[in-house]
Amino acid sequence: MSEEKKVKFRVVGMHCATCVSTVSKALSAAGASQASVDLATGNAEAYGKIRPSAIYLAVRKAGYDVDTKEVIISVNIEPDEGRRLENALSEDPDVFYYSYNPASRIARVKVNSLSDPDGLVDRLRKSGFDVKLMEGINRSPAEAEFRSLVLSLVTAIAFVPFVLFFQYSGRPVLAFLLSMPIQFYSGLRYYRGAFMALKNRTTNMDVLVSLSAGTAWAYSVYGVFTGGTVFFDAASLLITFVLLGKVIEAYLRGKISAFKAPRWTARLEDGAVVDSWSLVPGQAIVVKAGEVVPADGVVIDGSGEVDESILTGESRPVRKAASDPVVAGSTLISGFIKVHVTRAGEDTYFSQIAREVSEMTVSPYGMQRLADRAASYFTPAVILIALVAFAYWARLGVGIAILFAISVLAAACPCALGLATPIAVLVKVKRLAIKGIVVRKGDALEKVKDVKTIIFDKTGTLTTGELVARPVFLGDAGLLKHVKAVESMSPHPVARAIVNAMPSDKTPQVSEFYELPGEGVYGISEGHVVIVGTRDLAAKNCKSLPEGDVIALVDGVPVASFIIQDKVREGARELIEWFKKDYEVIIATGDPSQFSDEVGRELGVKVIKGLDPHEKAKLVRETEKCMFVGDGVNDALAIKEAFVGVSLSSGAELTKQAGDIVINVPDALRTVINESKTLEGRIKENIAWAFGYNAVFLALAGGVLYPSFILMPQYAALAMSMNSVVVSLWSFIRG
Amino acid sequence: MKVDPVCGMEVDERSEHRAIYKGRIYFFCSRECKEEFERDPEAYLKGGPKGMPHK
Repeated sequence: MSEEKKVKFRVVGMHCATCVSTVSKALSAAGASQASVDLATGNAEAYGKIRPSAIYLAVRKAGYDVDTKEVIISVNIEPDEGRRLENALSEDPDVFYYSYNPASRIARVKVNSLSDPDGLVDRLRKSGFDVKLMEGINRSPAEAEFRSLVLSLVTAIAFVPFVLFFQYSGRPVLAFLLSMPIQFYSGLRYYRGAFMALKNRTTNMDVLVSLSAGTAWAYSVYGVFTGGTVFFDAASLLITFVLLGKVIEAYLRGKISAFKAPRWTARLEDGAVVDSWSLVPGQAIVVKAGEVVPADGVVIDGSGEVDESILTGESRPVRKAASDPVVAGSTLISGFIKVHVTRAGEDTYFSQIAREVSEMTVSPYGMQRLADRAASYFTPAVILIALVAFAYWARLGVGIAILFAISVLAAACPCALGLATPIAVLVKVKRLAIKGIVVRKGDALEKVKDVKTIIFDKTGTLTTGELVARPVFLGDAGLLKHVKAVESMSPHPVARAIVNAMPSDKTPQVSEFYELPGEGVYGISEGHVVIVGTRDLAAKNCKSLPEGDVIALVDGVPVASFIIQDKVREGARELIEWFKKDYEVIIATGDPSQFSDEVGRELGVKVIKGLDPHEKAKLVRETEKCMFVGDGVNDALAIKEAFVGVSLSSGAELTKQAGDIVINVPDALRTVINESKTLEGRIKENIAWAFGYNAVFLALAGGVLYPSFILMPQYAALAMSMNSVVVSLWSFIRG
Repeated sequence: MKVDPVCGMEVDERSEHRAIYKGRIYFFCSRECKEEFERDPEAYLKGGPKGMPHK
């Protein structure tokens, strides 16, 4: 833990004295014993037991940003060391934020802009990590690794026929020479991997491969000079077969793709149009009605209604005026705002979430955790068996005994054990993909069968998200055409819903029309004063009001009232009925209106309404084994927090990525649940296969059938790589 | 041009600060004026403009 110390950093986006006190307060609240912030330079200091990551979070939460440099580090570690790396990063004095992608072995680190990134690299190296600082990534490291693997494999395949030919035609020296590129070019990665593993006091597959191929090769070299037996064929084929398996594995890993927030056009004060990613904090931009807000910021002038459905999931616009915050990705529906940019490009809230969710991970779950634990004992056990085999067969001569030992090392591989779950999941994922269901996290599909509670978002998930006005007409029906005429002047979603709910009379000309953002409209139609708006607005213009969310007045008399609501999706009721049989079902919504209760009554489930994104996430966190189904970015947090997070692909692009599982229609959830239930059986079968196969070939390689059958090392290696293929094939056949 | 009933300034009809009271629309120079008006519309409509509101 960090001691009492000082962290110096720079705050971005402050423009007034209030900003300074906001940031200072945020720092104190986050645990700084003392904080000083300078408005002019943005320089800040925080004292006390506070980690840089806490500072970063506090400042960003307050609506500002910390000036950081992004450093991309490629780390050469085994998958199980990811946790140790994350610990090292979170303890580092210069690291404000990091995200680590175990699939690509890339860490994106935001370091203090006042520090030198080399310092971080040095500290990581001292902690025993093989790290490389990357200068911008043109080609993804995963792609680079794949190319290097393919090159190694191609080289091995090119030399293998010659090695075999020369050895079998009795020219061991030529076989020796031509086996060198295979051993020391193609096989280098295994020797290096084994070295790293041993240095970290662990063992892995690289150790087995290096030991078997290395021993076979070294003994053969000894044979060349002493006229003894050589098996360059075994040593070479062994590496070739293992590489083949690796290439397939790397190919699958390369399928993982990243996700980035889109680029928007931004308009500067002087009218110049620039890319949203080129904006910097402190710049002022203008946003007109109909445009997307291209950066996070604070409104400094003007006002308007903003559709924050991308953030809140609710399509009802929110009124924004001076000093209100706006976020990138929301749309200005009416009005005109000038925005002081506080975060742009990849620092926006939108980008941040996008990046977080793009760091896909597949965590071992259930059976796989067991198999992984078994695999960690596997390598030492196999080495032990190899030694026993060697000792046992030593009476037949060192050459034979070594052959047995090498066969044992080559025959066993923890790979198939590691593959058992992913391959079964992959098969299911493919089957689901054909039906338009995307699984982003493999383990989520396994978890589905354990779900106890399903929490649904309302707007856009159980309802269509399109507003509908339910009208009650009062008084003189002849006046309704004036209401329709005035409302059709407004592009507002509520106004459109109202126009659609009105009788299809021909509308008269409107002579005067004004919008009052957030309140309603005022217009004059054939001399009649028409006011349509909220209850508050209506109350200022009429004494006795009818029920309803929106009231229409003509010449001060109510002629219609409207209840604004969503439409419950088709099939939602049947779906909920189906779920209620096996699960507890809850609706959680940000919408505080009566309509939420109505939906709950209609579907017969409990409703928790008026929740903001954080409250939703809290509810999800506190509900054991819960599946959250939602759309909209406001659900991204809840989706992430859930035991299983499901999003609807009709929702915002970002949230689509936030879901562990992305479905196209709510009904697809049934398919997901059914497939998850059969998945567990497949995984168990695969693990049984992998174990059984390993056991049989270990026994054969160890010589249980000697002298009637000997498993030569190269065929042991072939059998080993076939184990994975068999497991895969078995999965595909079973489906 | 319209007159802001709170401060008495001339206001463009394009001003986004608007209020509707008893079937009539009023325009304001600023949010402050609009808020002041809505606090007690009768006072301004009967008593006339009282100048910029002070906070």
